[in-house]
This record gives sequence, structure tokens and C-alpha cells, in this order.
Amino acid sequence: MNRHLSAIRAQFPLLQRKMRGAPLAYLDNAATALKPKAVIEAVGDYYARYGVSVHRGTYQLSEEATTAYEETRQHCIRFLGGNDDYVIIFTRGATESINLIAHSFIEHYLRAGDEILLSECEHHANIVPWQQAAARQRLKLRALKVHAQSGALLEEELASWRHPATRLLTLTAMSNITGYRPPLRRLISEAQQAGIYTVIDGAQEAPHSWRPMTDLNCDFYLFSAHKIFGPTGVGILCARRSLLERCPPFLGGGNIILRVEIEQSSYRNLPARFEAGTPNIAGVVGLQAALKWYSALDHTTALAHEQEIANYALKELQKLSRLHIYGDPVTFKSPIISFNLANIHPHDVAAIVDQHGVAIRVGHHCAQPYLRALGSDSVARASFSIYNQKSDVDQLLEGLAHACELFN
Amino acid sequence: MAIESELYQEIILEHFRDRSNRRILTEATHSAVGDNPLCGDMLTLYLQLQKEHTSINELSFQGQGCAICCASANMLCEALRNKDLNEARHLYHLVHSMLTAEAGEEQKPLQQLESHFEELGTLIGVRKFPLRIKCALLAWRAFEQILNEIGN
Repeated sequence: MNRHLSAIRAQFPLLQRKMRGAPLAYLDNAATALKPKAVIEAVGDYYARYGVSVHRGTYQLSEEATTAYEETRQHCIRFLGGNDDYVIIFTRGATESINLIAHSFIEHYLRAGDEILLSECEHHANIVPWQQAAARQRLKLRALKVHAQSGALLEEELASWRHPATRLLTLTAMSNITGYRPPLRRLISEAQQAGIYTVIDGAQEAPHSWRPMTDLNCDFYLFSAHKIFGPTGVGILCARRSLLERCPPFLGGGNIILRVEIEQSSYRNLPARFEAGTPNIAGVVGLQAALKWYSALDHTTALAHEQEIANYALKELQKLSRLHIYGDPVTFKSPIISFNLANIHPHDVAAIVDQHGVAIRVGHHCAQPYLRALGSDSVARASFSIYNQKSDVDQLLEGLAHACELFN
Repeated sequence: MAIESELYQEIILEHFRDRSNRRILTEATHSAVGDNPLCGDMLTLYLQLQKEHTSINELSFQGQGCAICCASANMLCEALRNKDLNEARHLYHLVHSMLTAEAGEEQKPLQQLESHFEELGTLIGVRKFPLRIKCALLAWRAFEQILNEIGN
């Protein structure tokens, strides 16, 4: 193992665990990333040393907590490659970030008959909130179709995607099934020419990139802390300040108000207007530690290593005659590989590879329309991160061979 | 590997491979769909009652599911064929409590089940894989729907 990789692995306590007697081969990174010591310690340190509420105390501890919480916004902007045009709102996750836009923004900016455009390769979090918004406000909803084999958006769809009623385009930056990355730069630039607002769901892309918003110029970019080595329960919404400034609050409660009377209230400016109640302070502090940790890495080397492991997995998996791979991970340079073994249900595959210490996810992966378009309703998925190693793939291959033998 | 002695025992694999009960029963008097939306598993259980509606004449199933789900559905068909409805209801309760009872409470239903249809006892291995209990119960839950439809 090279020095770079062993230094990264040493920082993840969970990688020391044995699973059913075998070393843990964690290949469910698209669901959530493991946490480095720096993050685990930062969360503990907050509770042990300054674990009080933010914004409202006038004592030293509260100042310390408020500073740590507020400083995290700058770390987020820096990680994303955003600028002063954008504001960071903390939510409970990527899902809540999308719901915030689908409520507050849509309510203020869209009218009955306007169209929201998404794509077939979205996961449910980037479909369902828009369906609900469409029902509330009598909006149209349309999805760009994908190629049934490659899983990429169809060229003919991309050639004429703008309709007169289209007002908002929402897309994933990376599919959680195939790793497909839609041509965002081109689509966002075309959207801007037509005055169409743009939302980018970066939940899958964020941990595989560095400064993903640089030159992207979208109106909203969102991701979740837990997929990028941070704690669960924190989402990040990076929004164009000038757009969100005019929107009403999403959730009502304390912190968002200037003055409350029994009949009505007036609201604070950004970002406070969108952070009702006591936030997940420990989670936000942990996110800061995750971003600092990630920023201090040699990204080029770490992400190239991740790609090398994914390529190795792909090359070996392609040798198995019984194995069908969904989408086109070679072209997509994807850190995510979804597959099925002929005549073996993915649940059985997962149970057997688990015996070899391998954690993979199976099922519909909260992306039923995309899977249906690819001709399946349940797949096994191996997804890679910067701490994975060749032997993780070898354990997976042993497990798959075992499954083939058992169900021959 | 322990998995062959617990989850994927040979008897379970045999029931999984058996295709004889996997068909649409055109003469069915009842059918019910069991699904686990989170895994995408779905199967339809078909059942034909005898003329007097007191016993089961024939059963079959069709759909998709993992080996545990299909093996359990196949055992259900084999175990309940030609059974009196009351006995079938009793077997359903035994399977349900063998798989879901508190630890230590599963031996009694297991012994009773084995005296009726021994192979059903092999499903007890699923208890060591809590996430798979819903797979083993899928067809039985469909059967429960049919029982509710038939009434007492």
C-alpha cells in the first residue's frame, strides 16, 4: 500500500473493524462516507468544551459556539468555489435543502402553468418535492429522458430542452446509480440565456470533486455533510443571495424573526431567515472539521487513487460473464458501479458478499424512475471513496464468486 | 462460511430452485399481492378454495424476490396444499411467531411447525439476519390478506 493511502486510511477508525472475521471492505460510500478522527473529535470537542446554543447567549461560551458555527459558512463557500454572490444556509440534509427551494423560492417566483424541468436520472429527493410543489401551485413537471443502455441524457432531449413555459431546471451533478454527470455547464449557460433558474443537486458529486461550483454559475447548489466525511443531519444550501433575499421563510420559528406579534411577524435577513430553531450546531462544527480535513488533502492524488480503484473494480467485474453493469461507467469515469448477477437477486448477492466483509447497497437506491428506464427495479451497487484499496475489490470479487457457486 | 448453514441451507435452495409452483393459477378463487417497496420485491399469491370453502385445493405464486422470499413462498404452497383452512391459519401463525417472537420464544412454534411440515423449520435460520425476516414473511403476509378476505 502506498504511503499516501495508508496515511488516509489511518485516520478512519471504522476501517479498523473486522466484519464477520474479514477486514471491512466499505463500498457503500454513495450512501454515506465514513468519518475521519478529526470530525469525530470536533463533534466531541464541541460538546465537551463549548456545547451551548448559538446566536442568543451573551456569554463567552455562546460566543465561541456562534463563531464556530458561523465560520463554517466560509469553509463551505471556499470548498464549493463560490463567491460573495452566494449565501450558505444550513439545513438537515440535501433533501431539506431541495424542499426549501421547492417551497420558499417556487412560491415567490413561479406561477400556475410554469414548468419545472428535471431528468429521469434524479433520485427521489430531487423528484418528490417538485411534484408536491407542482400540485400546490398548479405547475407543470417534465423530465428529460435517458438512453436505456448508457443511462446518459438523450442527445435529442438535450438539443431542445427549453420549452416556453420552462422556468426552473433541476439536475443532479452525478447520478447515485451510474455516476453519470449531465453536461451542467452547457445546460446552465443555456438556461441563463432564457431566464430559467437552475438547481444543482451535488449530494453525490461533492465528495468526488474540489470546488465544484467554480464557473458553474447555477442559482442553487446543495449537498449533504455526511457524504463528504462530515456528520449526519446537516445539509448545505448554497443559494444566489439576490434570489433568496426576496423569498419568504421555509419553516417558521425562533431565530428567523425581527419582531413577533400575535397576528404577524417580520423576518430577518439571510441566512437567519431560513434557519428556524436551534440548529444542529455539533453537526455544523463537524462539517467544518470535515471540510478542513478534506481541504488539507492532496486532492489530485486522492481522487486519482479513488478513480484507479474504481477502474480496477470495473475491469475485473467486466470479466464476469454473469454480471450485467448498468449505464456506462467507463465513459462516465464513475466512482459508482451498479450491477446484477444473472438469476441471483441483489439481496442474496449482498448477504453473501457481507460474509466476506464487504458492505454494498442493494435495492432501488431511491431512484425508481431511473432504474426503470435502465430496465431494472433492484440492483447491487459498489461505490468508492478515497480510502478504498485494491483488496476491497478483491474481497468483493471473492464474494461474487461465492454467490455464483452457491446459486449455480 | 456460516451462511450456508444458516441462511442458504440446501433445503431452502431446493425450494428456491423448484419452479413447479411459480405460475398464474387461472382457477384461483383468491389472490393477494405482497410487496416490500424498499427492496422492490413483489409477488402475487394465488389460492383456490374447495367448493365448500373450508379447505385449500391449490396454490401458486408469481413475481420476483430474493432466494429467501421465493423459497418461503414455495414452502407455503407445498405446506398449505389440501389443508383445512383452520389448520392453514394455524400454520401461518406458527411461521409468523417463529420468525418474529422474542429471542427464546421461537422454539415452541418451531417444534410445532416441524411436526406439520418439517422443511418450514429451516426458515428459523433467517432470524440471525434480521433484515431478511421481511423477505421470509412476504408470501405469508399475502396469505394473511387472503385469510382476512375469507373471514372467519
